[in-house]
Amino acid sequence: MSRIHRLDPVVRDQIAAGEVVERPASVVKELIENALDADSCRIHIRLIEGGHSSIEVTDDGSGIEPSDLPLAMARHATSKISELSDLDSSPWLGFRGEALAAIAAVSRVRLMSRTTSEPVGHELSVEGGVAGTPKMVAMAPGTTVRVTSLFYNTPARHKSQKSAGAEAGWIQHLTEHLAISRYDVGFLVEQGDKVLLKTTSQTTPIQTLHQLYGREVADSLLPVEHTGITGIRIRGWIAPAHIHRGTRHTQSLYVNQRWVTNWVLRQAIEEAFKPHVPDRRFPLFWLWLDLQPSGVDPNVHPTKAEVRIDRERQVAALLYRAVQDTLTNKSQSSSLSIAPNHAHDELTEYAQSELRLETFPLGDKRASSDTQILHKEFLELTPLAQWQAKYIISQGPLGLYLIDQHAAHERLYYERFKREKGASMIAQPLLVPHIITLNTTEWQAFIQHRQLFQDAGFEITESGGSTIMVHAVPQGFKDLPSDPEMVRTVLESIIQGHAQYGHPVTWVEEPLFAMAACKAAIKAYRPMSHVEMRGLLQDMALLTDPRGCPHGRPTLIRLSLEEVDRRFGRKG
Amino acid sequence: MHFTASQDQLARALSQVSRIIQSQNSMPILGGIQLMATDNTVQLQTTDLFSLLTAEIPAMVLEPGYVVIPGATFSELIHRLPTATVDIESDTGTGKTVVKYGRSRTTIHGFGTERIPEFPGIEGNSQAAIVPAGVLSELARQILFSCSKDESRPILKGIHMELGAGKLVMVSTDGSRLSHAWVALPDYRGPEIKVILPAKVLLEGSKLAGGQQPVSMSFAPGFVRMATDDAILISRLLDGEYPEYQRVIPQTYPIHIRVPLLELKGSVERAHLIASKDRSNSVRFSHQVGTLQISSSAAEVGQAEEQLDCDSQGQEMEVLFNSTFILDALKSLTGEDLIMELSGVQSAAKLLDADNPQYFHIVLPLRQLV
Ligand SMILES: Nc1ncnc2c1ncn2[C@@H]1O[C@H](COP(=O)(O)OP(=O)(O)OP(=O)(O)O)[C@@H](O)[C@H]1O
Ligand SMILES: [Mg+2]
Repeated sequence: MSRIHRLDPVVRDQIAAGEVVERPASVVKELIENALDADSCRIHIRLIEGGHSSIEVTDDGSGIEPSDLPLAMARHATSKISELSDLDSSPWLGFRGEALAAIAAVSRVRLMSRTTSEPVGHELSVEGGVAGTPKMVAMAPGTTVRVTSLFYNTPARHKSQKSAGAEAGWIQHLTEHLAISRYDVGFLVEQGDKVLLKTTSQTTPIQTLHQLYGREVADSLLPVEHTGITGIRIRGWIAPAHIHRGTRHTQSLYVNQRWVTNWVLRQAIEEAFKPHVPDRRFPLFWLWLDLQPSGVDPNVHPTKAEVRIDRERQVAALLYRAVQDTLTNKSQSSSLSIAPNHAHDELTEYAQSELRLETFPLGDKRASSDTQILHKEFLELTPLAQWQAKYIISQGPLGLYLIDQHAAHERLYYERFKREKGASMIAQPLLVPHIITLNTTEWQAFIQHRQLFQDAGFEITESGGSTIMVHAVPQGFKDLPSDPEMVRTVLESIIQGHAQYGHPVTWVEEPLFAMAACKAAIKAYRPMSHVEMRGLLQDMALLTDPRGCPHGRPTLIRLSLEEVDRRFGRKG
Repeated sequence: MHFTASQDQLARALSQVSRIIQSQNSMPILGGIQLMATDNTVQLQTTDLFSLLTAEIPAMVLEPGYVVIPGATFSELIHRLPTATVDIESDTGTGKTVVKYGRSRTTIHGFGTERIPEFPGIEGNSQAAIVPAGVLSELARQILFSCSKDESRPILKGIHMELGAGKLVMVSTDGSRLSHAWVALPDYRGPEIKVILPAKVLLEGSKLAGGQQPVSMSFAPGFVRMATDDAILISRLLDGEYPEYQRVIPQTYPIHIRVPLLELKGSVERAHLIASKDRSNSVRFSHQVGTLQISSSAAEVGQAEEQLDCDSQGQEMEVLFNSTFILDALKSLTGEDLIMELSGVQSAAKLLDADNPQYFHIVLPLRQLV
């Protein structure tokens, strides 16, 4: 590693200022990042009392030149960049030259380091920001930083700290995120004589996932591999939607190798799982995003956990896409699992269905070239009965299915409307303009998106205050009358919709499609004949995403034979 | 309560009043029929909380009283009875009702002392409008289809009704099309009245006494009463502002087309077959003096092109319509020829029976966006 130098005052002022050290976990994060930047192969973290009394991080990396030790502890001194523009091409996690100094300002720090070219190590202690004199110390090559009495001189901070147990847990999860991103490095976290986490150096992240979460999770994971037209690359793994957790600890997002928390991107990913993940449960994913370095700015927040991403919405939409594609291709439907299925069972189920499909007739012969059978498993479903005039009970090679007839129909219409969109846009003028008075939020949304309404076929004039007059609306779908109140529906979804990427069509059209689909779909509580039920199931095979209705409810639930056997206490 | 009545009359009255019982009810009592025996008549009543329907039949009343019995079961039972008369006796306290026919009997458990919700009593009066037999059902056929089926603008689920100056005018619209009909009521001497009648009430009113008797209509604030000799429907009116529809009906139509109804209907039906497969659901009418072309297309399905001779005047014009709207209008017409009048590519067209100018339909063309 190159020598440490002080940053130019101009550069220094451009770096996001603020508190770097908020809790023991922030110390651990900074120290691990330093160790990773030093090309370490193994990093050992020792905690006492969740880090409140002591944190010690030892690595086997490049070490620091003895004469550089005081500089390492100084503010605005780094070996990693000279100009802010270096950041774009910098492979390092650190760049501010700030972390060690910030830690030293609120604790007692002992820094020990030895480069491979030195026969012995040197140590420097700093207390309350004041450095002592360097001493020689016997040690293996690498660096050890020990931080004790954190926040001893900032009583307010000291008081507001979490319990030792909670903090240790937090540090463990943090280390998991970093260990997955740097699967090539071995991590060990210990508290007293208890091992909280251990990974060894691996060649792929999935091996690290296996070490951390066991084969149950690792074997069920679906690989994600997606390249957008603009060169954005998404790779990683997701768990099928029926596996979910009560916290978000098993979700990681890495942008250009940096572990980040980004609410917008996370939201987009979760949205793709939505129809199948219950409320307040969270899907599992580990995704790596490769973006143009110039489009990512880590210099927005002192702790570097947040990064600014150019064209964030597009990136979010792409993530949604990638995850949804993986889910619709790989998982047939959410299975009514009590315990996760064994990967082995899943595989044989697949094999069977593939074999049987060969001889199965392929639905509607008239289907034109662009309607493809996308989900063959639906062709194999035989309706058994209708239940409550609401659900279709059917059987297939993968088990017993409960299908919500309304949701299924809705999905069908929805996809059809979407397909037919753009063919010709037609507006239905109204005999008498419809007057709507909007509230402040609606009005603002309307003013902002006036053009979108016009493009979609609405003709709207303003008539003072926040009152609008609707003169024409997009042609009602089929024979459904055009409904001017759709304006409000669209506005509502615009207002709530900022975090919704579920939608390849623009979001003005989206609620229109969804609403029209709902109206066109048969309502729940309607008896259906056997022929009708079979027809509906076969149509579902043509859908791109048969898993959920446009409003996000699932269309079907699957109960596997293994599941039923298990519930009856049979061994299959 | 105890009475004897004719099976046939009772069965018919039951079918009549059962019509407004909703199949799913939040209050069980609303699924019931209330029987009330007084003097020599039995009154049958049902309600959906919006309307109250009463039918009366003659009976030999042995003991006056009332009971509410589950509607569907009771009505089905009476329809299946083998005897010409039926004897019904119920215990006022428990609601237990014994139906006797010949040497057999069936017992049905009623609702005890419960009664169906009360409605304000509105009396018929001398100022009532007497609508001749069959006229309401004729009006219903002519205009009901244009009502809105949507909850979003509830007022459009009603019929705008105007009474006065010797006539009764009814208008319906869903916002994009409109139907207008009137009948002469030369004997009406009452005040001028403008109300909004729920579509369902016009339908039920037109079915009173099977449409075979004149219907007397009277009004109280917020309510309408429609009565025949042996049935009375009392219903709430819709509250709100009906759109100013007169302004949207064009006064002049530069294009005037006369075609045989059946031919045009056939053409539009075929064009609709294709149009309905497309999201836009539209048919194109192209007029040239003497010919009318009707065409439609759907991307994944095909195209239709129909050519008709017509008796017409005015310039060439091409107008796009929602095919369902046109078809609905055509279905309501009955004459041999129909008249279609166009006022412009962007303004309303009018459809009416060549021989009966008392009702017409207005349809706004669709607008193609580029
Ligand atoms: N574990 C380590 N091994 C080798 N060098 C280290 C280690 N920790 C710190 N250093 C050196 O000390 C310097 C200062 O570290 P510090 O963490 O304060 O700043 P930084 O990593 O450069 O930037 P940032 O404030 O963004 O973390 C680093 O630039 C690096 O040269
Ligand atoms: Mg650092």
